[in-house]
Amino acid sequence: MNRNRLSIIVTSGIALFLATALWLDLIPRAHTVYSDTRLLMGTLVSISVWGHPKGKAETAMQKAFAEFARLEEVLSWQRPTSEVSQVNQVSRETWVSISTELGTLLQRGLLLGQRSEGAFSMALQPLTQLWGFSSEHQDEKPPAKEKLDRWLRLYPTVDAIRLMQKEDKSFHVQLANSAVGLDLGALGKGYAIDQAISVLRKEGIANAIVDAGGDLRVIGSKGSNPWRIGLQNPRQKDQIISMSQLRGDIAMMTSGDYERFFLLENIRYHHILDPKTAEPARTGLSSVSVQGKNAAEINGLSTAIFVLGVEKGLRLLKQYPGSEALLISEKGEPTRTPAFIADWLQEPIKQ
Amino acid sequence: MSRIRQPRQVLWIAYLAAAATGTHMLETGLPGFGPWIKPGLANTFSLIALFRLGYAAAVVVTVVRILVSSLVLGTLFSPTFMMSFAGGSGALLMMALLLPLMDRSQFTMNGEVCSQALNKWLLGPVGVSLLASIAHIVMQLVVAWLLLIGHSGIFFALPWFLFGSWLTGIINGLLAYMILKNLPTGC
Amino acid sequence: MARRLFSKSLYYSLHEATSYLDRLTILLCFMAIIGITATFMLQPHGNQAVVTLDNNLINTISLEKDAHYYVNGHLGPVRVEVKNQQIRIVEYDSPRMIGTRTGWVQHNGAITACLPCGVVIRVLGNQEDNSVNYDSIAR
Repeated sequence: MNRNRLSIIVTSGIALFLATALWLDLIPRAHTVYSDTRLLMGTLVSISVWGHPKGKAETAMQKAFAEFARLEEVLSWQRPTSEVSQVNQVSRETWVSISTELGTLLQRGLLLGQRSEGAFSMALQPLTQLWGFSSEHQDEKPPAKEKLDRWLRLYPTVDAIRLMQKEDKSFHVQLANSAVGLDLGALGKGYAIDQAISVLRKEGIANAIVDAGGDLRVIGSKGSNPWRIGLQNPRQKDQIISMSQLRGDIAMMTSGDYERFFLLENIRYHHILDPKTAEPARTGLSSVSVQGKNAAEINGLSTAIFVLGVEKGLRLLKQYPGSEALLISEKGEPTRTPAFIADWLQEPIKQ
Repeated sequence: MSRIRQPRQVLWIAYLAAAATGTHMLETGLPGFGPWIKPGLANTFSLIALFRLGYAAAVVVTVVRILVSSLVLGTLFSPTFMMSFAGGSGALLMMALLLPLMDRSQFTMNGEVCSQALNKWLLGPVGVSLLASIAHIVMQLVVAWLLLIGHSGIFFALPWFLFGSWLTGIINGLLAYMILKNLPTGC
Repeated sequence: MARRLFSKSLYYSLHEATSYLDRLTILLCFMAIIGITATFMLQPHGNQAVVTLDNNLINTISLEKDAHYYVNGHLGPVRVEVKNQQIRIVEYDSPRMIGTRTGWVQHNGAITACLPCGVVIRVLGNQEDNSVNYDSIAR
């Protein structure tokens, strides 16, 4: 055989091999991050996808957003048609049949409520409404003392939400009295993030971030580079105080007193309410970030730790193996568990 | 026509491969030039091999140059190596495409036809060098885009890269012609 | 003398070393490169911003030209301003005026929004922006 021809065949073979390898994703490609943002659940939800063709990434993102929109219709108490709203509208002390999805989520939330000795509660919708943190027009002053006292007298410390699973596995829920209303808040957002991730995975996406208003979960990486997550300074919006290089499958949820708040006579009134006092939780913390596998769980956990404070909070964290936390005090001092992934960039501005 | 049978031909391949490897490493070590901008003098030797000894020899010279120099420099299978490899295979592919358009008659080592001038309507070293050089840079850019940089930003420099390869392609082609003319042939 | 000899020899070598097809190739490649360069130059560059109201695309705005627009949000009109390749929104009525407080944004992927109004603006670049170091900001 002619050696020229043989060489041509060999060269074309090498080129063909390279092309096929690239085509079949055998060689990891450093592609652009495709991302899209939607206004959902009252916050900005961003999804970023890396390492997949544009068409595939966009289809998957659409489906994940659709899942978010579906869950908003189940979990948001601000939507009058949602399942949660329907439970809230029913008169108290009657059993209401609910979907398995909502039932399972409530079950997990109630367990966290027990473990945190009531610091985490999904029954605070009436109180949130009193404070007005979710309405479009915030009154920049706390509600009248009598109103809060009346709520405190009525609110049952145990069994505010009663959940029952019948033998046919169907869930039923009952609310104790008019001081109790479902507000899944933190838990719901985390759950939606988890669901969006599983939708992305079902679509064959291996590398992505789902970020709902600063609470996020990442899967995969950007090839040899990790996803880089900055943590905002609780007291200075445009400053980043730490960087977490995340890869694999990890969620990072943050609860802080700086997202929704108003200042009155130098007192910061924020949206994380303590059911024991009916007031914004004051434990000397300004932000709590928790990392772990499950966004729903650690989202509730970060709220609970914020309400409990450093000592009790870290004790609660021990009951959730695989979860790590970074707590930042009002003075800007960090406390972290050993395996929390973050590089401290600078001393936050002390106040 | 261009079978590599004789020990003398094999010797010539070895000479050219060694020269190409040396030039390649020298170019890598040149100060002021990044991994991006190189005169590509090493490709001249592949071109000489192509015209003097045939396509198979050009493949051998190119592959040996890339493998040996990256072995010596310790960049085997690194991105730099991948880039060289991509560029080299791009140039080789282009040479393969141009084979039927080439006039090698006055350069072959054991020339049967000893013409004194290039056939007007066939490609000489300069044309082949130019086209191979452009194929080289295009292949490198595509692979860089896929493997390294990951965004279309590099294509904004495309005009500069193309113009650079146009110029170096012509210069290297002339160099190859001058060397080829001064090498002993069978004539 | 030496210079003349050099330039002359260069001319002769060029003349001798190239066939017609070679010269044609040189010329055609040069013209093709000029053509490619021209198309690159003529292509619109710079950033654009996408304005959405309730996740529906309202407008795609170029950041190349200073201008201002109004978007009818849920809480009345929202002013969208473009200046020096930056964009910002100014709310007239919003509980916390987050959009106005966000100020100017310009980097690829940057977002400014008035959530209660339903207005979200996202900067789209046609060039990857390496000044954005983080994939997400936790807060």
